[in-house]
Amino acid sequence: MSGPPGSSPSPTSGPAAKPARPPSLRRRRRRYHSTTFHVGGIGLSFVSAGMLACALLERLTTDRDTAALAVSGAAAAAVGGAAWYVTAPGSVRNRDVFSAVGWTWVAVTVVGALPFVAAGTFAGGGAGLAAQIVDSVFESASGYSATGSTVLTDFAGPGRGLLMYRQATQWYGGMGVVLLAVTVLPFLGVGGLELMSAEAPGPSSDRLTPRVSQTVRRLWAVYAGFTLAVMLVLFAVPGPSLYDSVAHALTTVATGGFSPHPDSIGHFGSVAVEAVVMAGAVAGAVSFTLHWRAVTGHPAYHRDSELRTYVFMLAAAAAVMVALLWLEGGLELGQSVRVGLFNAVSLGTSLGYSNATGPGSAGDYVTWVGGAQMVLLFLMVVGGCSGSTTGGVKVMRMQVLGVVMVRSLRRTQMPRAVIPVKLGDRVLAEPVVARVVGFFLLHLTLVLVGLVAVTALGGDFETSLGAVVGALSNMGPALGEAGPTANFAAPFTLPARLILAALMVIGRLEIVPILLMFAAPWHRLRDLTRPPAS
Amino acid sequence: MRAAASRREPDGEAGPLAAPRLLGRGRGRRRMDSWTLAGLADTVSVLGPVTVLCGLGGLGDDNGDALAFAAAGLALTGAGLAGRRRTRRPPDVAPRRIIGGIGVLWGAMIGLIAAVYLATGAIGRVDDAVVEAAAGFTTTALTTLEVEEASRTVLLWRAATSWVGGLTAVVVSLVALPRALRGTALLAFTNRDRWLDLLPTAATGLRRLAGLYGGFTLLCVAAFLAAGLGPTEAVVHGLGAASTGGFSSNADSFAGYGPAAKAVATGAMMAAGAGVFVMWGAVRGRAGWLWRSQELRLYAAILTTATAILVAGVDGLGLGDALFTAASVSSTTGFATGEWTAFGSAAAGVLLAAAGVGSMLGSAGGGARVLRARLLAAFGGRELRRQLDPHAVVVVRHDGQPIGDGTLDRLGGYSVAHLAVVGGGGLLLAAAGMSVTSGVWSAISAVSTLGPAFGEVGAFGRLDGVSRPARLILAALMVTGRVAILPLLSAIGFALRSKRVLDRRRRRLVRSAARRLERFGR
Repeated sequence: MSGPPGSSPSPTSGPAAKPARPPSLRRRRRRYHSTTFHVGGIGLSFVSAGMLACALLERLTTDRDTAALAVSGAAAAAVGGAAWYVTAPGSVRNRDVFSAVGWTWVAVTVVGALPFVAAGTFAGGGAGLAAQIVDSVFESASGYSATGSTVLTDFAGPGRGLLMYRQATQWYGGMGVVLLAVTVLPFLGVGGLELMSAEAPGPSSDRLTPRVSQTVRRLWAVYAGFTLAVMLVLFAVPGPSLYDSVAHALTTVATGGFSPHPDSIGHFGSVAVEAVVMAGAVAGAVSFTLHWRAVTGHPAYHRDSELRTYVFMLAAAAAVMVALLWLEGGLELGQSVRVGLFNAVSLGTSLGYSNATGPGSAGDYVTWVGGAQMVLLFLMVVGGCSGSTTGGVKVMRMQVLGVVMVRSLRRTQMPRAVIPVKLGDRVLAEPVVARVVGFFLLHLTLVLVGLVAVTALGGDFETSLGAVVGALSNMGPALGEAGPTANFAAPFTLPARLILAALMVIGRLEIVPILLMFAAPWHRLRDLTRPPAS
Repeated sequence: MRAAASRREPDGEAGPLAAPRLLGRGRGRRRMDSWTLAGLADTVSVLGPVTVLCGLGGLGDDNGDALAFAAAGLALTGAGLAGRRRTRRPPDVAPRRIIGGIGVLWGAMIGLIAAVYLATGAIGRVDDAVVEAAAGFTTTALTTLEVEEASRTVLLWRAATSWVGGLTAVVVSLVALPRALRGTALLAFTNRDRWLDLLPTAATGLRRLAGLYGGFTLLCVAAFLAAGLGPTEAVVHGLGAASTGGFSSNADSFAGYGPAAKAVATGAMMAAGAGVFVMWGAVRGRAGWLWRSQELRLYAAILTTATAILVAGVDGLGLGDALFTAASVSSTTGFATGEWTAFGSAAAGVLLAAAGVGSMLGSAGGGARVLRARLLAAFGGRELRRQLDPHAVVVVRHDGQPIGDGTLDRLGGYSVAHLAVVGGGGLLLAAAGMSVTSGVWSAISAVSTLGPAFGEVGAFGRLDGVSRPARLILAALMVTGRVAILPLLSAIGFALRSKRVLDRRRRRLVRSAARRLERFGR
């Protein structure tokens, strides 16, 4: 029997001599056991629901890309539903979990590109099919990974439904497609926690309730609640229409950064809109576990050392940028405060919105002094808190790295000292500390390898550096030629765009699941090709 | 350097960790026990005669400069000898004193060299003199001088400061730091047999290091002479290549030379970047020893990859020039055959990676070091495997030798510190007026003691277009990258300890005040 990668034949599909089972169990027996295909199927089914909903919106509004969305939605539903139906969850060893999470994201990214390909969104300028597919995959990867980089140049071309689908991809990706799948996988048992940990940002995941599916549902509830709140407040302030409010709410709490307008938040030119967006992004950048505790009447924001450090970091970065823009950048104080604060929050939360009103305007940070741009680059690398929707290395990991650095020094003076790594009152286990250092090394290696690859493919150094760091941190706009008022189509070749798309997904899953997603198929292949024991 | 005996290790054997103890100094006099001053005296007593030689070598070109430097050299020699007679290395020194002493040694030497520049009139401004001295002693190819207008004496002296700085760096990293940081220095990761073969005791090790370094320098000078360079040029480039200093007697470095001189320089830079362990293996004819070295193989792989990407990615660049540039950047020397910062982005990415990794252990070059990069990669790989099986026992090995968890942990901490210095340096440089590209490149280049960088600095390491605050930041980064990351960490640790002590005192005061208030209330 040649099952799919990561699958294993049902242990109960043996000879007919076995005793008869009840009908319900017999039905389950015929399924292939594959966690990868099962989780992937559920993920695709959820994605198809989004596509179909947006097809309905498209039909009711502009009615240009209805067919593209409907056909793509139907295809995704068919593929996802079939994979869901014919498989059952298999083993949940670590390699199976990484395989499930990694392949699900690859499948969602590829299938998520279908509406753009079908609608010919990137067919402008006589682009060939290969170029259209690459651009569609790039846009899809940027959406589902909640990055916000775009190759879309013609915002008037796609219909309102397709643009809303583009926004919705980030909402799905913000909390995580696999987390969505876990909500309907109570029978996975302990595997649910591993799936959640493999997808959730940060070095560890907190359980809010004994049942993982219940925890995930609560996280999704908080996420949806924040989105709704941002939407209502945006609609209440002067400027955004209902469509704009929904579209921006979907990508604000997800810290994604897509906008249906080419000039992003700068389109509204409103301080109130910028303030609402900043508040929503900061909420998205804080651990959702903390939010749940606050919602249930046990606020613990002030006791969380990671959050305190994060707030201090954002405030300090904003202050430095405001000072640099005012003293060296030639902007007025009020303008410096407005653009400095907004961009510090936007890039510090890996949101990626811009309040630039055009190339060379005050909010176009690629024209700022080098010091302010370096602060932004630093914010991109660090990202937000663990357990949030942000990308980057995460504040908690940076804290651990700082403590490891100091411990290293103390051990040079006291080589035999036993020095635990403490964060606040918590003592971190040594394996967690080693994992954090390992993650940082992998992150750094990927930045270097990505930078060498993208520059070798013709990218400008500064633009490539910003793009690679931004892709791995799920940031969005980069530096240089890919700044907030530009897009990624002109500065990068097609292969470079594919590399950046891959880095976005790798960064969203925090590297490990993607690097290890081949382990389960490899073991399966090895088992199949190994000669049977005599 | 005279060395007669080495300290016995606690287990009774004279090992490589023993402190070099130079005897026969000022018998009958009272000598000051100071590791730092003794080291400073040793270094000055090497620099002094070298300075005199530079002065003598400059006679006939600009006699004023020549005599001034010869006089300064005599003064340095006198001071060095006097210092050696009046100081002594104490037999037991706390590691933190050695670490702190190394920082002081570098600071004092840079101050001294800057003073000579100012006293002889070679450089007029204090900040320029400090930057030039820091670039020289840290073997970084950055300069504030107008090279075409400088006299022969000044050119020789610049190169000599690099040479003495390179020797000091090798001695400190192979002899002093391993003693201070037992198990933390890079030597802890090397094959112990190879280490003991070169450095059986501190005294023998010092002799061999000086012999290898001096012999290699003479070989470089002879090869440059054979390649058609004039005597001054051969000496300057020989000193620059052996020490990975990269100072040239021409404003455009090697751009005007023929293929023979470039080939000699390429070979010299590759050998200098490979370090004294490889040189020792070559001298003793241990081919198998060299072949089995994982670090050497990785160094060769980095050079090959960088060269291949440069040839493929830069239009019109020949293999020779590509290899020259890759060797120059990998060994952190800084010679250039042309404005390689104009090669384009393909070169920028790969050369940045090569500069960040740097040279091999035992070299006078800088950077994170090939060995450290290899171990960090192995560490990352181990953590990946542990993700698949958290209970797996995965041992990281280097050259067949297992590396302990504690050692890897300290390596991780050190690397984080290195990156923090690079990141902080880039931030400061950008704040001082550099662009992002220039700030990132210059910070990595300065911490790796390379010098040239994309952006304002350029391939020839000229600081004309760099603001004065940025120059001083670059000087600080050079020193930090050369030796002072550990002293810097020590300073942070001291600050943290002081804060804890202050907190404890404050708590005690508050408690005492509360008790008094309570008593008063009663």
